[in-house]
Amino acid sequence: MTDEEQARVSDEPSLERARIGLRHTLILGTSQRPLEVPRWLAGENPRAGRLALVAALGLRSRFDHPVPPPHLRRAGLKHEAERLMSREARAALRRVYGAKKRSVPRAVTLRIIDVLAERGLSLHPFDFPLLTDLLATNDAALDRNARMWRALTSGNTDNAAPPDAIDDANWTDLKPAERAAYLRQRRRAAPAAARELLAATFSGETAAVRAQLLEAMAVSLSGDDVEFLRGLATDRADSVRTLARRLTSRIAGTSEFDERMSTAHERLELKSVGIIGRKKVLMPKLPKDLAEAKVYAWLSDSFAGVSTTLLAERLKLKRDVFVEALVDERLRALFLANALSLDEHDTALAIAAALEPLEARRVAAGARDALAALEPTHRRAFWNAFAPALEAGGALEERCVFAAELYEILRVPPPSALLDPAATGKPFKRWLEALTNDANRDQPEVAEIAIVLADRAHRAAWRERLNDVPPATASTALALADLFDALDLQSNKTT
Amino acid sequence: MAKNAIALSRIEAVAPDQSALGAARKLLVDGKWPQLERDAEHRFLWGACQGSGATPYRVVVEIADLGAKCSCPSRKFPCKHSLALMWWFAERPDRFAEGAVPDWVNEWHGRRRHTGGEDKGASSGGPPKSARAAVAEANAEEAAPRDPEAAARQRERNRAARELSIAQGLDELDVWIDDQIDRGLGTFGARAAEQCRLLARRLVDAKAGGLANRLDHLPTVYFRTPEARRHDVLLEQLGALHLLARAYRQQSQLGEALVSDVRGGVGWTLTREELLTGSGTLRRHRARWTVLATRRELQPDSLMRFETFLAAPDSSEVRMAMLLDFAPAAMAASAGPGLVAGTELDAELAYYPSATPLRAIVAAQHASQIAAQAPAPTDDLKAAIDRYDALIAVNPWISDWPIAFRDARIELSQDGQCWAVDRDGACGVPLAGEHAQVLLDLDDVALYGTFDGRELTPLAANSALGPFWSSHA
Repeated sequence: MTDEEQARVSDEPSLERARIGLRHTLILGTSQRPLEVPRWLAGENPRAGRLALVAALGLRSRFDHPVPPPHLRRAGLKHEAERLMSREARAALRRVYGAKKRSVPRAVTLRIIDVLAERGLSLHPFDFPLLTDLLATNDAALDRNARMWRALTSGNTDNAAPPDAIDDANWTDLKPAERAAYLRQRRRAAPAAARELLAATFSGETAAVRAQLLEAMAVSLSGDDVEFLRGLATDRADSVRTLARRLTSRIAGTSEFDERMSTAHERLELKSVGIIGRKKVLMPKLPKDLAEAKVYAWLSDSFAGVSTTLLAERLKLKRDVFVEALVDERLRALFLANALSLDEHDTALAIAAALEPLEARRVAAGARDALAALEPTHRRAFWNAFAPALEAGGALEERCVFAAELYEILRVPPPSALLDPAATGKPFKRWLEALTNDANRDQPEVAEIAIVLADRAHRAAWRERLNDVPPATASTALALADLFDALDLQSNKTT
Repeated sequence: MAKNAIALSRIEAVAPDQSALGAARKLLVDGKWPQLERDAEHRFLWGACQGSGATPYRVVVEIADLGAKCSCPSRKFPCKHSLALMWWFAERPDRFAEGAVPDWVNEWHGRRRHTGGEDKGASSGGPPKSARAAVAEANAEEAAPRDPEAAARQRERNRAARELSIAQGLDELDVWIDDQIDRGLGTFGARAAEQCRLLARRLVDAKAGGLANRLDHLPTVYFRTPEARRHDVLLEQLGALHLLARAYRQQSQLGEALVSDVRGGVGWTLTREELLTGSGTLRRHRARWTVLATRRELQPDSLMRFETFLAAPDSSEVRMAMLLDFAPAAMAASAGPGLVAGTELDAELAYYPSATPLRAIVAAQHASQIAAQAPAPTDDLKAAIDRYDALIAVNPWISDWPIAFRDARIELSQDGQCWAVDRDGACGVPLAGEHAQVLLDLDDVALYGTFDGRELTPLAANSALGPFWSSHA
């Protein structure tokens, strides 16, 4: 070994020891702090020495690799390979959401989420980055891993995992809307236990959450709830106090109930109209000086939460006559919501069946929360109740758009007859003609909604029909047909 | 053959590289050429090619020697527009309308002859005055038709001129790095963009395009690094630049393969022909290659860079390869390598000569099918990192490099960072990229990713949930 080589070897450890100091010097700048370079490195040229030192330090730095921190943890995702969608279904789903040309209708997304949930299937985690539109719904029916992914990618890496099963011990971990849904469910099964659950955490919530949770008490309301509701008369929020009073007024036997029934009765005018005066009409007795902007508040104050059955009795009208007499759309919407929340399903169905198409869409949207809070079996009946309005529209696009809106509310599939290809032949032809004749017309959502809401047998016929639809309009609908066929096939194999 | 026709082989010979030819081919579309003309004597072709900007590029080609000029900003010579104009004429001469030679073509031609004469004297009498003059000489000397021996001598002179020019560029680079050290790395951020751009331009003039690209990219690398690590990354980058300059000056002391890396790093390129016939090229390697991922990145020069990573099982390890393609950003949606992640190709690849071979071209493709999964890696994480370190020791200019390892589990740190760790948690790498979280909570993962020494960006993985292809996510 030459002297120079010997010097290098003996200097290398010192170079390593001095690394931090040298790095500091380079950060400050050699004009601030002169750099002493070992002679074997610098030779006769100081600049060459400095550059060699930079190269050596830079190269040495390349061999520094990160060390894992001591406390790594699981994120809480649950991977169950047997529950994942099939490869074919995944490919079709990626076609639906991967195109990015436009957003998929919300009803279509919700239908996909519901079908997966019904069949116990999960989205594949590897597809999550491509399904941002679907995951953005953050729907309660979305599978657990998908909701966690959403939380993780939005920066919430703490407690991103939702509980596997909701119970009385963990229900407070949920979001307010989910907690209200859980309370409604508990009210149906065990009203007293649900009330105690609510009472235990009530005072610690914000006013908005207190009101949202208190709404759930409307389910299975009875005299047992009076004490709790009257106790809220001193709540710090006016909205909660008002809601508690309104709920108390729904309970027969209370003074609030009698007072409310009397008020409702007094504020309604029953008239006989028609040539022989046999048709009954109910109209609100609006105060003469009431501003238009305050009408809805007055109506709500007068009639919200009032039992249609008991009010009809007071008016000495049979239920069907009472429903027929509700010619004012605002009253129909209010009494539909009342009937829904007070479990007067027959009345609610009768009101829904009496609605004209456009009115039906407005009323259904107004009663969204009450409809959504129903048990699935009751919700299913409302498809039939709204059927006259759905079919009266005639045009396929109107039918599909209203069906999509109803699906978003009811979240149960429509009856098979609604999208029976045999019954929609003429509307389909008219829609197709309109598409063909107007180059600027593009209504892919019509085909997409028809595919996802049609039952299995009718889906095949709708797929056939798509052969006549311009490819650009039909492409996502065809992908949806492939998706649902693949899911059917997977379910058949599993069963 | 028609009067003064252009053979495709001549076009291939003048093309700077395969990607230029590929890009030129995509320009052979009627709608891109509002003007295609030639003179009656078949001396010149000229035309207008619609690029991504509002004004079409003006292109001229002298048929005799395929000398060309284009108003585009490409650093390649001839550029893809010039190549496309030649190609059009080779395949569809009837598309060219006959017209009077425009003034701008005559002016270019006049300058060309004039410059050629001036530089001829310079090259015979000593070194050129400047790098620009050397470049001009290279262009000018191309113009004159000559016999093969004369052409070979000319190429040698061009090469010598470029070497001289590069040597000057390397000196400028060293002065610049020393200046940064003098001012201090702590204040680099404030002057990074301007300083790097200035030097990059000088290096382009010096025909050291590879170094210019590194300089162009340096501010991006610097600013995308978390602040706590910027000084170290800057030190690594400056060190690598100086090391490259130094290695270039001492090529005679390096092995043949490493010389290829050094020359490639500075800016010398290989044509497809040179690659397939050159002595430094590895043998064509035929295997069942799995396409792991394709990545795209917009470069500062507005070209989209496509990197396609492939892996094939080898005797004791997984062999990796990367295909590199470029396309104008405006055409990136339809351009690209055309290989889909998750495909298995029966193909022969030819690697570029390198001490650490990775970049390759597809020499021959025989069949393709859907891959069940990526090949099973043989290394665990520690072995994969050791292998990466060994590669740096051989070729210190590698950066993002594909590695593969088995038996990893993916977990979260307290600060929400995803990590891939080995079974006992002793060795780990943080995962980068927006989709790394899809792998969370998986065990026994075989993971492929590009590693820069600090972070791993996943490319593909085999897991209990099936194969993961990052390009699909």
